[in-house]
Amino acid sequence: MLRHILTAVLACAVVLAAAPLRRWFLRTTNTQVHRINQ
Amino acid sequence: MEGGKPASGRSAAPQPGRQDWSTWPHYDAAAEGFAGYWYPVTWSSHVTGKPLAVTLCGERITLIRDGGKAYALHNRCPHRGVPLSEGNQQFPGTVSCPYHGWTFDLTNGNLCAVITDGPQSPICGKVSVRTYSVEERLGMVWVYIPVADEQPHPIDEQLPEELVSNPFVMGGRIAPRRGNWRFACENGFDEGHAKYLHRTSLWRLFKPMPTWNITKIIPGGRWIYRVQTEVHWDADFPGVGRWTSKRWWKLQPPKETFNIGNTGSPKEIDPTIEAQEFPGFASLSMPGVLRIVYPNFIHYEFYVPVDADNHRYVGVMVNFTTGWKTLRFYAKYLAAIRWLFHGQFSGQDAWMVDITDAPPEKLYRPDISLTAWRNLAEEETNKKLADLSNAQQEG
Repeated sequence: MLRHILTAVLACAVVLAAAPLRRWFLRTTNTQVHRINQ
Repeated sequence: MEGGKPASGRSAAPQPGRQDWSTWPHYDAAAEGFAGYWYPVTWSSHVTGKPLAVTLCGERITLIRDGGKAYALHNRCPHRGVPLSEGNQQFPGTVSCPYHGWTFDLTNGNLCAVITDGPQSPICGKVSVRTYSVEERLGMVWVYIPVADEQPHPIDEQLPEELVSNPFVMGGRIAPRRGNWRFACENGFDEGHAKYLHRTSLWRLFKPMPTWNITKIIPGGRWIYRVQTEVHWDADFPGVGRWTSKRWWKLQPPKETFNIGNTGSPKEIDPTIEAQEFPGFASLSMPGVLRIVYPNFIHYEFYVPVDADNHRYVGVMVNFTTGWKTLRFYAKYLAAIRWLFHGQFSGQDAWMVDITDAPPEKLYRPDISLTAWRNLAEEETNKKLADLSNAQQEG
């Protein structure tokens, strides 16, 4: 049971952290990726 | 903008070779860049309702977004010289100075309200700040720096032709860098430097670079192309010894000379790239746009003048793919290319640009690439000024 709770918490943490982590990751080198004309 | 000289001090001792750039007077005067062009200044997502200060071609500019559209104004309140970028938006379609609330219309720069002088302030309509034309392309905000007060040419006439309508995916990196923009531009198109300076870069870890080339420069439209007529992968230097960048762990150099990519023979060329029929793998156009063509991607560098001693490096890697393959490109760009190519490899260029100190200069045979670029800048500027003069006379 504890393992399921920890897994769920970890999964939530990854999901919640993904967007700010991605922003931080991109900002460190001021890089961006874009799709153009599609 | 004009009249600048390459920065830094000079030794009193006479130097060999060319003492100045008077052969190219417009180029010599363009320490802060050429007017009459669009320049990328930042990512579109960085321009929001909060004013952002940038310097472009020596001009202080504030960027702000309103109603989804980006605007650019001279970043100085005419009242007391406070930067408008320190202010904010008090009314839709305007920006207000933080000091006394002088409020300027974003579309024309006119003073439309003065919060601390009441609704009937008599100074309204009598003062304005300069505005700049703004466009957004490649995920970036571009600002037009006019020569006089002319209308800008369409930005798509200035973008690399293959980027106007073809679908593609791109990764880019924008970095402030020390050094004059002309040194950065010359470095980018410099025939001799890559094969020696970058031989130690991680990006070239498994690919040898030639030792020396015979190169010619050919014009094509508004571009000049570097075309290699001979490629030498090793050489014996009399009285000194043999030199090559070939190593046992690197790929073997190709057997033929080719014009796409320069360190490996193309097995398969992207059809969009092939359709362009580029005569050479490196090309350059005004106002400092470098294009390096590889079999399956194109790398661009935009050298954006900030002031006489600083520029902005805008590196863009383009892959003409669509669908799920774009995800593969995202992964490659974010995990490797931006660190290795737009990072460490390009950092070697940044190092050289920062410490270049010319003129005086003594050019050598491969520097035909530099003189061809300066000639191009000179010819285009003469033509642009003549066209503007004619338009003014007709108008």
